[in-house]
Amino acid sequence: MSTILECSGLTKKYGSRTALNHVDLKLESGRIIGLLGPNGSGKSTLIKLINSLLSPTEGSLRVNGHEPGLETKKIVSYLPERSYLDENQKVSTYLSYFKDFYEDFDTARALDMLRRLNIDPALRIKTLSKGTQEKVQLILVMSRRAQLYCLDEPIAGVDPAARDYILATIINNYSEDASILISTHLIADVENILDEVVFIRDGQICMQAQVDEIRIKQGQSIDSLFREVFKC
Amino acid sequence: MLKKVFKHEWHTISPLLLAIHIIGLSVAVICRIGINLMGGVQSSNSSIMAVFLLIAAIIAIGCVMVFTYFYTGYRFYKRVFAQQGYLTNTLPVTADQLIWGKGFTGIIWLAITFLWAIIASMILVLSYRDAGEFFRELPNVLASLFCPGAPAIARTAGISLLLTPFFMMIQIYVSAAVGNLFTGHKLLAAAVVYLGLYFLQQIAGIVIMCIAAPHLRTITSRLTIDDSTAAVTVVYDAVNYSLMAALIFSIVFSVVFYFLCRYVLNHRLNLE
Repeated sequence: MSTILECSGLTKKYGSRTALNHVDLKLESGRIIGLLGPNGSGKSTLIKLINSLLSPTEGSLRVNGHEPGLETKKIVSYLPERSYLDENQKVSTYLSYFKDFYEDFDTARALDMLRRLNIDPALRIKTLSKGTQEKVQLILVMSRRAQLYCLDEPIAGVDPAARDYILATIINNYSEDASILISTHLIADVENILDEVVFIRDGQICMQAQVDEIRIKQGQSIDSLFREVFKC
Repeated sequence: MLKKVFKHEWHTISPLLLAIHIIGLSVAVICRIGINLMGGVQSSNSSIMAVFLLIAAIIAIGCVMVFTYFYTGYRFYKRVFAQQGYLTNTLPVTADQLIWGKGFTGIIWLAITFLWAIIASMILVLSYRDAGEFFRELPNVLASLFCPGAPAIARTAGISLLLTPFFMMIQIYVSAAVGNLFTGHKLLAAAVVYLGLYFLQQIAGIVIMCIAAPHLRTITSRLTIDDSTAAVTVVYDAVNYSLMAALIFSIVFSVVFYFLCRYVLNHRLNLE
């Protein structure tokens, strides 16, 4: 297994507030990793740094051996916590947009997923419900054959049925040599699909472990361990 | 990738701008018909209503021009520094491709708007015969501006006119980029930066005029009434030097703005 992500002394400050504080992290490829922590712990900041939406204040970050930039954008597929879809555009516009810009975008796969959900590509984004818009965005992101998928709170704010669909879509649409980094605080919903967890608190990594290890050695579910670690 | 950025930007912003321009042109045509029915604005018995229609049409033309400019700037802000920036900035394109791809769209639309405004104004004020004559003479006038024997002042003015859409576009882009550096109220910050840059350039223009004016006064004071041809040449030269200085200043400003915009996109992106 090769290293897909490596952070060394990674720090991000917003003015006087430190969002990430000297983070050292190494993630191997071919795994589904949960980036778990309470609200404001630095999960989204780390994912934005991976996607070069923010610049680090200190330290370094490498994705597949490259600093965030043009090369990493070709291999990282990012689902932000908010919608980036222009409401005036059609779903089909985004299909051609992704096809034009990402060499690894699989249009047939995206169309198949849209068909299964009865979403007409000719519809405008504004005519879709919020939940359907989130599904469209997820379909676009998961239809890429990327090496690293960064999913920021993919199941927050959707109903349980939609959560099941989203998780099934994630599981069924990534190749085994790719990695998925899922940021969430809804542990119970995702713990069954995770291989590894990274606990983050106040901008620092407080635990990185294999899910099986936690279950066997500590005899705990991830959810109960999370509650224990982040007890208020 | 540059072509793709341009293609998608063009398809995104053009429908609304096209509709606005068609509506604006229709307003000009309707106002012209109205003015004609009321006897025109130049005749001694022209009605207040005809004058009102003319003013309304001029305001409509101005609004379309202003809207086009700020809409293309706003689209850049929205696509790059607001929520849609989460997609735009994760595309495998360079900052240069992003600025040029979107910039070309804006520049082309600004150029279209300038031409559109000329046509709309002609519809409003010229007769069919005058308009025909204007279009017959236009290629000759344009050719004479850039021919070897053309007056230097005409050439400088022509180049300034051609580069104006680029200057305008990069100024609004850099304002959006600098606005992105603020923690909150980024759009408001971008507007303030835009006004700040505008005033900075106005001050630079005034400084240039102040430098040129005493020089011009010194030369003209030495001329006698008999030197009228020489006086005209001196005034032309002085105005040309002022225009050239302003043009060089605008080019320098634009290059600085471009690199600042590029720097923000590469190193200071702030999509919190």
